[in-house]
Amino acid sequence: MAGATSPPADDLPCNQFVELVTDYLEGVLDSEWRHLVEGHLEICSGCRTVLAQWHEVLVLTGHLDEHDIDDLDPAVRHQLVTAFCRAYPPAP
Amino acid sequence: MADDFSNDEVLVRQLRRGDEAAFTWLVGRYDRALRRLALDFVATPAVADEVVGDTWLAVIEGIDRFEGRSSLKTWIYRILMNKAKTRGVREKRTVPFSSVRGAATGAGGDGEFATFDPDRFRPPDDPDWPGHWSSPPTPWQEQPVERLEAAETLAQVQSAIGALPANQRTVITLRDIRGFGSDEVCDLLGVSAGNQRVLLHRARAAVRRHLEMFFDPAVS
Repeated sequence: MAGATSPPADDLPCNQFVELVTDYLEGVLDSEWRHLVEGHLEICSGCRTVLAQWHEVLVLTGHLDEHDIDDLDPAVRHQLVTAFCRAYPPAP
Repeated sequence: MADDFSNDEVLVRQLRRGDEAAFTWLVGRYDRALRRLALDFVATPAVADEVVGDTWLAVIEGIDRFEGRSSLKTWIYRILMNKAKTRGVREKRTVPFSSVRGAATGAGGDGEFATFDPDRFRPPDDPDWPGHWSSPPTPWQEQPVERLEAAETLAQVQSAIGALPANQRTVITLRDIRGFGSDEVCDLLGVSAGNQRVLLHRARAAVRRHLEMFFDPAVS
């Protein structure tokens, strides 16, 4: 917004943009809203930063998955596997 | 060659044959995730354990009837959700997903929600740029890459998610950690698409805020 003295008449204010980020990324905005969002992103570096941070949150959150794998109490696992083996005795 | 259990067809076939390795893999993959999810719906860890145990028994008993219309993962989660919700209702501790819309519009619930502190924007009567940034966020790209991807950062994300209200935590966990699509999450939780998005947005906003404070403690 540097340089300009006021926003375009149809500009979406930043405080409305930030409430629409998820709807925008989910692809559920109708074409009119999407146009407003994209037009605003072109002129606003602060909101481009918000969008970039939103992506970063998604990437980092996605990394958490690996923490849950192979981290199970061996006793619980044993109990369950025993139940499974009772239900499905392996073929001779 | 070892079987590729991440392929549903292989996994289901081996489970039906009574392949212990397949079941061990499955439990190792999902047990903790199921337990954590169950805790959002029932009162105590002990009850969550029961719900998860019942879920695995249902999986064992039902695998022959699994038709493959959804992924095995979705099928297991659906069993878990049904069992957890039934127990939660009995204990009067269900997550009030239905009340989110009121909360989203500021009518009660957890009160006013804002993605950013309103003070970071110019006031509505600003002569030039009403509602635009007065204190815009600083790009995280300026953080060294090592810091962005450090275990410490992930721990921050984890603790931010842990501090969320249960319904937001459930939605962000299913969507952004477990990789379910929005339709699947709506189906699993019995929540409308709009409510699901509201919960997801709030959850992501909270994680973003938490990370911002971590990267730049000067931001209040």
